[in-house]
Amino acid sequence: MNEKPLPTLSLKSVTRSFGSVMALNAVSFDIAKGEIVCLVGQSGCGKSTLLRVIAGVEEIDRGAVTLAGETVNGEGIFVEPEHRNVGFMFQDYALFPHLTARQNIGFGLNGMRRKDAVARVEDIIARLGIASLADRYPHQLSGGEQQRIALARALAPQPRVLLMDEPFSNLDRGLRDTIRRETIALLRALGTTAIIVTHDPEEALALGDKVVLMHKGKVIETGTGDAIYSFPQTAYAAAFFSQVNKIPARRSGDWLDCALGRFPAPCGSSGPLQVFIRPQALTFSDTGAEARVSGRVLLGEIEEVTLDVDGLDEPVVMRTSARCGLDVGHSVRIGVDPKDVLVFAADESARSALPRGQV
Amino acid sequence: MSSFAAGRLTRRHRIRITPWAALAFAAAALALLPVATIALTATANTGTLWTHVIANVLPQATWNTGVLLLGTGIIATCVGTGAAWLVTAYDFKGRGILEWALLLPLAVPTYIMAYAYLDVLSPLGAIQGGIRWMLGYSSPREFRLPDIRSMWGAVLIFGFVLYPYVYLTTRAMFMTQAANLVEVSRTLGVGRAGIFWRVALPLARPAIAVGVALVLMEALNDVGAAQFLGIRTLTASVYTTWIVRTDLPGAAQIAIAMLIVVIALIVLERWARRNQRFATSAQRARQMVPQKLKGVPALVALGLGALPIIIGFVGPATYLVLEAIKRIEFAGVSPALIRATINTVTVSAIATVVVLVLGFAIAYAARLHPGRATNGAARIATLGYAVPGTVLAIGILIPVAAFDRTLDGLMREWFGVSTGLLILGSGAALIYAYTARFLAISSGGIEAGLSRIPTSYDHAARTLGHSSTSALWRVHLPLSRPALTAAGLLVFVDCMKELPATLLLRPLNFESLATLLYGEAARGTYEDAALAALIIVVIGILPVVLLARMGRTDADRV
Repeated sequence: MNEKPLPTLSLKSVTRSFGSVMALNAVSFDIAKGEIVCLVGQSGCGKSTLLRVIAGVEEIDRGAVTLAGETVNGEGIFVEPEHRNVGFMFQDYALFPHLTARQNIGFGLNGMRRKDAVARVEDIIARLGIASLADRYPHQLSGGEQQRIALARALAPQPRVLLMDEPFSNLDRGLRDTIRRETIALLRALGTTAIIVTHDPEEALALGDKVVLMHKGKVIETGTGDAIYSFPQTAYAAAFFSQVNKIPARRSGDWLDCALGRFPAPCGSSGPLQVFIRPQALTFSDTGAEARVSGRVLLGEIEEVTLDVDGLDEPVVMRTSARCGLDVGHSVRIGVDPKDVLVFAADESARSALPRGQV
Repeated sequence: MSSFAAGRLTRRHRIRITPWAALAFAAAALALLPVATIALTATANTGTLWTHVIANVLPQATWNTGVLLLGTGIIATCVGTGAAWLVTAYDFKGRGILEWALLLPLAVPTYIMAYAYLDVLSPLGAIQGGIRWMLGYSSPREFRLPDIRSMWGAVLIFGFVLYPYVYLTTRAMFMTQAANLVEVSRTLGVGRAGIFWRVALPLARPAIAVGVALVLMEALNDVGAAQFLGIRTLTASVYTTWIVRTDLPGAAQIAIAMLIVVIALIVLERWARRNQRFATSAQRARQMVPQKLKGVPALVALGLGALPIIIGFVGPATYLVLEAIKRIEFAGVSPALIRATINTVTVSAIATVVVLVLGFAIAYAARLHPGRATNGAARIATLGYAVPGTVLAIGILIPVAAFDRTLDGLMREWFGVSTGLLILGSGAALIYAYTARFLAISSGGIEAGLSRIPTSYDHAARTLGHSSTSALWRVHLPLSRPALTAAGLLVFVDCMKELPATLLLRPLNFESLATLLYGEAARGTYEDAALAALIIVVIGILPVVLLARMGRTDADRV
């Protein structure tokens, strides 16, 4: 018998409402040991509520939360947060202002013998390289330093799961990338199972083994970053992870016709369709559709060009690294890389996983 | 699915009563008891008493109370708002001192104010003598000021000692709200003078309402000053109906009339600040830049700002100091005064501890279990603050006396021992009254202190393996110590100053500083009274210092 190992965390139809608002609507997914999962969605989608539910500072209405096979909430059971051994890192870090960094880190080691607790604190301080900060109070620390103390505090009790609520959102842009890389490396080195909540699509794609996309209390899609970006199953996911040009299309036989050209049609679709074209899939091409430049914004390495295309109400957005030196009002022709075209039903609320047409 | 449904059912009906919630509910019940008692007593006893009270006492007392409250409200509003605007909109030499000194009259209870001015302004007193000397008269028969023992005297005394409540709330409003709006209205062409009437005053209306409501509740609560000045208010009528005529149901009926006034005040206050939510949502606080004054205008401003302080604090305080020195030189410090001081401090300290514990329970229960039950408990527990001391005393006396009698009867029957008046005689009833009356101060202050602690701290402590009680000791208590200290100080001083409930509920032969002063002033003996009053005022300055410092740190943060 080769039994599958028990998931570290398992959510089954977890439901929680506040008044008439469904904050969590039948949320289900599993997390394996050592996995790092990114929970992503717009603000108000329920991702923070889900973290709070897992931590036990919020109760659920229906469903079940299971940690390593043990139900901690659901079926009439509720395990208090202090008995769950779940680490929580808060967006505002929630460092206790009346305790030093070292005392903060040791705060969760209450039940341990003093000697062991001290050793554990020193170990984690050494691992994070924060010995010079240990005797300072939170208000004497910079944002990045506070972040590391908060991480150390959450990791010190060796939690079964580490929950991180927007752990990098309070950091400056330059610092953010460095700290993000270091944090993930540390979690990998310790083999920590973690859930990272973020509202930033790029961060979600970059960080985790798995991405869980939420919207209005529901899980929309789950998958690896690659899969969810390249092959989104829903129009919502496609539009969430990158900017897209949504262009209405008409089916004629095996082909789809739209203002930007003709593409192979997916099989088995019915009803009105639209094609999603990412800005970087557009190129200048001598044979493409005619367009007129209506605006240019330099973004650094690349340039964002907005183009008016006959037959489209909305201008089309293109991103290109070719410094074309165009001015507003110039006429150009644009082509589309057919590999980067996604097709969805025009009605976006329908779950429209349309198989891609063969090129 | 069905098993989940069953699970949900059990969870919904599971009520977790922590010790904190239990204490909070107990506090609410204790606070509700006196009010409920009054309502029951007044409605249950429909003998001939109602008609007597209605015909002979209520109309005159209600009229007097109405005139007193109206006059006091007008004076306190004008002085408080004017002073707040003066130190906010103008900068002149001495403004920094005025800013906090304008709070000083808070240290003087109304009865001490009346006591001092009765003597200072008496026809034979220093002021009238001085005026006569300047004008060349030789006897009070030739020239005298109108008698202070009158309605106008009472209105002036109440207005000038109670205006700081309006000053405090209005100034806070000006500091946090005014700057942006004032700047905007300047750019829209409103002149400096127009700003007060067109922007500041409408803006401050909710704050003024809060302040005035506090002023009027204090005025309604007063029993000493009105009696010294010979005004038969509702409060004074409750006191005489009970003490002189020993007519408890009659007193309870007048108390009902007072409760109606209180409810009207609360409704008025709520109504006046119904839109405050929109006002306070304005952007971050920034202080407006005051206009610099120099030369004569600066002196005028200083004089105007100093006037309420002189009338409301410097005058009576100077008088008390001089009288106290005279008394000590003449007779030293009497044992009666020392006993009264010890009594006052002991009872106030015990009451403060009780009030703090219950206040913390209320605030922490509301934080741990947010919901209708704990919120309701918090609201009910703070009822007592609005109830005048005499009313509260009657509401407590009736059930406590019944309890004492029943207990005594049972103990005699079963064990042959008499417990006497256990609660009344031990002073426990007094502590009960202080607790019911001042619980709002501590629960409000602690709630405000706790609300500054983000809930993520609670969650961090819980996920790090601490129970809610452990989190309380290790996180909430250390972090809310300033709020606790401030609340404790305010409660202690208020207990120490409290006169009406103390008069009615104290054990036999128990004198506090306030009742000692009251007794002497009522008898006209004026022996230890000045010294007792001075002690009360000096200790009463402590919370004023605290308030002034809080105002300052607010300003620094801006």
